[in-house]
Amino acid sequence: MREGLEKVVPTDDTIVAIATPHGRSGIGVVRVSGGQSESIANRLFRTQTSLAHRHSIPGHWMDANGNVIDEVVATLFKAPQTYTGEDILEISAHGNPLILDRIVGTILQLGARRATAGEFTLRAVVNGKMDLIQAEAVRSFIDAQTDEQARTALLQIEGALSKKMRPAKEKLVDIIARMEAGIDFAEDDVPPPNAAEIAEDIRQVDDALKELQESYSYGKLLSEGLQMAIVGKPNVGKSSLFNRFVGRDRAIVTNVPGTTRDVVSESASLDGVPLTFFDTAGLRETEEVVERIGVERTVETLSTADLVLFVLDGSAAMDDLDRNIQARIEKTPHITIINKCDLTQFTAAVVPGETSPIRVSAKTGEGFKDLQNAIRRFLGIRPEGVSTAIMTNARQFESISGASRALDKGRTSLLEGAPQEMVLLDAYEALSHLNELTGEVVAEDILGRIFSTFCIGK
Amino acid sequence: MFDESYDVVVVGAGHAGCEAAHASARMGRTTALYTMNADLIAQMSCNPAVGGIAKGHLVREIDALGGLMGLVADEAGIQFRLLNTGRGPAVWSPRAQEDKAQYRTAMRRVLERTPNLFIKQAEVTEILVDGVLVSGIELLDGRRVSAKAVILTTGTFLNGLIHIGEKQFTSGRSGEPASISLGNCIRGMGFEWGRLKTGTPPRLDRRTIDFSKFEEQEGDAEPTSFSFRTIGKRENRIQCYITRTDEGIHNIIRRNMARSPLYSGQIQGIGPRYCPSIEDKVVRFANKDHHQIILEPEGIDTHEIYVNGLSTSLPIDVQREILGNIKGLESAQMIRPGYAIEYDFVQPTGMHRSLETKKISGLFLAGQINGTTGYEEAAAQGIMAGINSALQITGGSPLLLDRADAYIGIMIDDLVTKGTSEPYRMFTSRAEFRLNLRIDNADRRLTPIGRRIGLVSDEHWSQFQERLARLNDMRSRLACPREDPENPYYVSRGVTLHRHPTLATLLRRPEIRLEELIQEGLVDGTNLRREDLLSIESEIKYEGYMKLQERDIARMRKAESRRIPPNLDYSSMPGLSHEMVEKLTRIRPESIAQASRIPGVTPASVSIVLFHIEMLRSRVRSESAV
Repeated sequence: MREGLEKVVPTDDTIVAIATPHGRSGIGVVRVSGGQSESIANRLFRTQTSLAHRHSIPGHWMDANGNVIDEVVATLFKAPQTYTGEDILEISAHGNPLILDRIVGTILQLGARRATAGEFTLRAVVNGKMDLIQAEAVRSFIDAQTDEQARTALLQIEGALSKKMRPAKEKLVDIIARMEAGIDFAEDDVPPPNAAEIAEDIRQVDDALKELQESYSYGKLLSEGLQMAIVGKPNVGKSSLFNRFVGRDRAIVTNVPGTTRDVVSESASLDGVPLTFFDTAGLRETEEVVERIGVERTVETLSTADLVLFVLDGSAAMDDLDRNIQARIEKTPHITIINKCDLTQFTAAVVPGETSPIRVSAKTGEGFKDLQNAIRRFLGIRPEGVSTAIMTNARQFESISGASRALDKGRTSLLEGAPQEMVLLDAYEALSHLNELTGEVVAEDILGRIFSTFCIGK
Repeated sequence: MFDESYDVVVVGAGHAGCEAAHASARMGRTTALYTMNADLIAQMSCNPAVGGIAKGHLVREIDALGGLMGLVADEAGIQFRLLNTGRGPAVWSPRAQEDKAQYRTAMRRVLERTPNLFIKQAEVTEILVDGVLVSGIELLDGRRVSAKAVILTTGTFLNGLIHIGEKQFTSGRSGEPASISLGNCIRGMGFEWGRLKTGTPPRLDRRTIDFSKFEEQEGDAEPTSFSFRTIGKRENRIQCYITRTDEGIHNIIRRNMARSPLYSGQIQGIGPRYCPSIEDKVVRFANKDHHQIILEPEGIDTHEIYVNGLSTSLPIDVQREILGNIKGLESAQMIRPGYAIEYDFVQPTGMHRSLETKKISGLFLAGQINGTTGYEEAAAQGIMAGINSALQITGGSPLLLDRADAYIGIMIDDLVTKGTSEPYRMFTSRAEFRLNLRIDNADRRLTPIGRRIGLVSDEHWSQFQERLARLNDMRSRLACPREDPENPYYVSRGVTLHRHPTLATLLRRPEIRLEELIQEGLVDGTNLRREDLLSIESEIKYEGYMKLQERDIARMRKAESRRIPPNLDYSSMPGLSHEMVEKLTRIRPESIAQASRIPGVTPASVSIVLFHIEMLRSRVRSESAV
């Protein structure tokens, strides 16, 4: 057990956090501080120019596989003339929380750690960057600390997560206690722990964690919602569809193509998942200025949406414009919708490359259930519902994943015949990850478990 | 005003007192060791054994620092066993049955031959304090002895109260008087004190036991000694005998429970959960239908037998009835009955890590007075108190072992950081860096430290240097690549040798053993001792894991190096809750790492404290720059 160490924030690794407030905004900033900042930029930031101290460079942020995540502006600040006194990298991306999270994710993969509350300020102090007592800095640090604490406490009190996790954690403590008892009380009348049984118990804990892990993508959706863009050529009924989802007339619906000139957004919910719809201007080549701006925004919205609803007019055959749009969204998750199935001249157009387009009538509501189910399938909502624990933030996910990895490792080495004092290292590693989530267990608790389980003593 | 004068006075000549007095005297301080009975120096009050899991580690560490327990236990040992050999070498631990009388004799002989050390028989009744400085002690006969440092190692003697059934009487140990005056003096000094309880089983007459009803427990064919300095093979001279209780016996105990002072409310002190009395076991583990009992001889020249597992405070007639129902003990005669004893302890959070009290400078505490149990735990604190009192007198900074240095460091850190509510015993599970704290590297961890502070003798040091040379030799031999893949040793184990691995690489496999490589003639093992093989093999087999631990050790040491000023005012620190202020003020942690280990202190408060001390530091920096 790493006595107390998990309570001490390290100050020599590289940390990363989203620096702008959570939520959709024009620009979002991801900040990285620490020795790895520059090498992280060199790995993931693709640009024509090279990074230089205090220069803002446009380029693309890539994931580890070389796929573009977003168009960004990156600025490198070289130590020591920086806020924290360490190398700092600031990445300005589009203010979509999902994009910012993905950027943070790529940085975590390279060995950085998610910053805790107030940590950038703490580093500034540790590195002597504040040469006077700066009351403001102190206050913001304290607030960050206590806020975080309050938030965490609230999560723990309210969250089904810790309840769900408790049995798994209890079981892990129990496994550790059994292995420890076998080591510390070999002289006593304690049954020697059976490796196969322990391995099986570790697997059960791991299964429980894996289940929680799977709930993450849904949990994240639950907290951040799903961003959906409705696209299609003008006058296929995008806005009617939008209005049906949000339940009122938010977008102006006319039969004049090009009525929607900007991206209109509105929220609705499906099984508790907040859905944000972006009704977009129809993508058509246009000379009209306002509409052209609308089209540009549509393209931008498309690039950040989690799911695209691609609307076709079922009363007419697909034309070049439809195909053009289809090509644009090919790589984005999408659902193809054939609208206007109520019209008598409905032809049920065949859509090439689409196995099961959804036929709906935005006007009558026909086929709407099918569309909802298609979205549910995309969300991965299982029919039994989601009343169980749900993991909603990335930090929780990282802790659970870390615990699960450690358990995997421990179980494997146990089955390969490793002595249990080594397997225990992995078990403690897993436990300390779980402790990050739900308060702490100290060594005494493990001993307490041993004394209450086994009759120890001569 | 004073009748006599010493640098260091040690009060109590048990396992803590002996090590303390020896260490300070060896380090050049004139030392007086006070005992109420000079014939009972280093008496083993309870079981006739030294070592055991984690405790054996402590003995090795004491020895590596230049202490006595290992050497004496080797000399007086009559049966040696290395425990936990079914697991990896990090948790192997030596244990030995001891001849109690010989243990006392051997320890006294070493002490008498230690320069600067004077044994004194007298009852100490008072600690003399001048303001916040200790100045000496007063004896029952009225003499006053001046001292620059006083080390209290009072065991179970402070206001000791023995319970046997409904009977209770003051006593420090069976047949010996308690320290009442001294106990009351310490109660009056303003420390946070409390009562603990421990117990001991009856002792039997060997001639009245039918050993044919017991299973024999032999010593190891290859005895393992405690001390790196013990040369030559130790001998097993006795056996122990194992049996178990049954439901019939448990029923006797249940029937008489009201007569046990533990359950009648007569005993207030808290006993150890891991060393429960037999009545505790029966109550707390009601569904366990038997408990193990081991008969351990108390020595070679005595018929006295210790009944391990039967610690009790039940009345003597019940003890007799229990024994009468154990097969083989039907007609056993009791030499001494079992009993429970309550005694005063001082909450160890009142000490610095040097074992000096925070309240009174120059006053050190070691052993059961700090709430620990066990000879080894006591001795380990004793040697540290002895070292630190000697260092303090010469103006040196104290020797503080950390949690990655030694089990000793873990124990002291636990005590001063968390305090204790029951007698504290060492376990390997308390060691977060267990793989690094092995019996085979105790000397490499600690002997250089013992040498630096002047406790390791020239002879000890040269033995250590020779061992290092042997290890280095062997390591270089193992670094050579081998080219005999056809050797039957490898073939029989299905080992295929690609790219000529070195022997060291081969040894990483669990199925390859260094001892066997030497036997097979695959590597030259001349001059190597058994513990050398163990050291080399453990290093190689644990290497990967130890590298992983090193990252955590570095983190811990970094957090240790962030010192907290001793007078930091937590109450004026914004953001800390009342509870946190209270906890931090009570313990006054010396470092951020220690603060993080205080039970109940939250990560956010640790960060706030860190923020504050760094703020203070940067202010000092900027002011000095002006």
